[in-house]
Amino acid sequence: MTRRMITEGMQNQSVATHAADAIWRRNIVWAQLLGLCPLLAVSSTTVNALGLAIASLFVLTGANLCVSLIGPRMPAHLRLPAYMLVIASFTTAAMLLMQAFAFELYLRIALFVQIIVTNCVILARAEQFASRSGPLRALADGIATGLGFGLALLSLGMAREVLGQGTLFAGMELLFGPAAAAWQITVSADPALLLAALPPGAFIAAGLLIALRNALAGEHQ
Amino acid sequence: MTDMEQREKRIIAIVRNTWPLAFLALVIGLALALLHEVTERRIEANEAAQQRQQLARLLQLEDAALEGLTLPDRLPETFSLCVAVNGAQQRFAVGRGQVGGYAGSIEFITAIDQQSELRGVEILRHQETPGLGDKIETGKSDWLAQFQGRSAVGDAAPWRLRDDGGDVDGLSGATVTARALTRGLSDTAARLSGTDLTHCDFALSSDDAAHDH
Repeated sequence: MTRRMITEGMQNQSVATHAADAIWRRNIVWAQLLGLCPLLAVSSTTVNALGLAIASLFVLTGANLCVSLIGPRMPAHLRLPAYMLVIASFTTAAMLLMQAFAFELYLRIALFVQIIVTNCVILARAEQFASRSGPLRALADGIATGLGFGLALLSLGMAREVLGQGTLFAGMELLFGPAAAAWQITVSADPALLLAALPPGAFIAAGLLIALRNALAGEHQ
Repeated sequence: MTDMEQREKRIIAIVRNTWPLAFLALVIGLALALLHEVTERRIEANEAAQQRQQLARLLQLEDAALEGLTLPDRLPETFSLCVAVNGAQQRFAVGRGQVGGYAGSIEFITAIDQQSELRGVEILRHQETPGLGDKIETGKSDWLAQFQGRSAVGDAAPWRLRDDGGDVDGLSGATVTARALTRGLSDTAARLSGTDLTHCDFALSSDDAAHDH
């Protein structure tokens, strides 16, 4: 029962409680350990993390809403291909929009935007929740799960950027236009811990953040 | 029931079983086509601006230095480019190259000056391992910078990694990538050194650039 609650969320919760749970208690990364591949690969800087977070949020929300609208009309044996079609289409749309409005950032994280389609988080939410819920709930679930994923990406991205590069918010102009170049905060001229910017650093930092979240959520057993 | 009737039944069953998916694919396809239509011009403009900036970086010029230079969508394999830098005209041979890397082909563009010395390299496309082989990107490490000023025709050509008896630094964890790209760059630079620089395929004088500002 607990397992079911954790992965699916309860259908009779209020939308707000459900959403808050999806961000924190059932956080897709820190509590369910899903979507780690893009998380670890893209979180070397805040701007990369934010770019992927926005793209994932878009795909999650769109796919959840569409899957909920398709609902029971799609015969059971066609649901999986139908959901994949929907998710792939939203990923393509995210790619087109990023190419149009954040071209340079897209070039930096293109591969990871493309593989959003294989992010198990999205299919899991579509299958387990959106397909059995009304559009409003599915939409709220998509946004909340996306925000939860974004929270994980951003916390890891910021931690790794500060430790690995000694800066914070570097390169934000790729996402928010030239004025955002001034947002960069230089914490230290030479990075304290280069390891943090490298792949092993991603695993270590993610482990520490999971421990921190568990401590905060009081989930140490 | 005859064979014919059975086959017909089966076909009807297939259609009945798949039409919702086909219908969904049609709706989604139309929506994506529409989005493509709306974003196409912006994406093309972004690509053109990116192309000019990339060329400017390649030639070690300021980002806006080539503003006003009109280039075709698809640049020729090799071309000569004449740019006035601080009043003095400089000529470059610019060309694309391609070499098989660790994971698929690495495409790049490179330029040499009139002395056949390498002016710069930009990676256009690659699928090397993120975190290892992708250090060939200028934004991710300065590995490529060591090729600047190397002569395409001098005694040290063709260029080789230290491991292979040359003097090019490798990339730790991505030797295959580094070796392949070093060979590709060396070959392309040698090819470019044969370019006729007496005429300009594309030209931008500093006056042109000034007009645009």
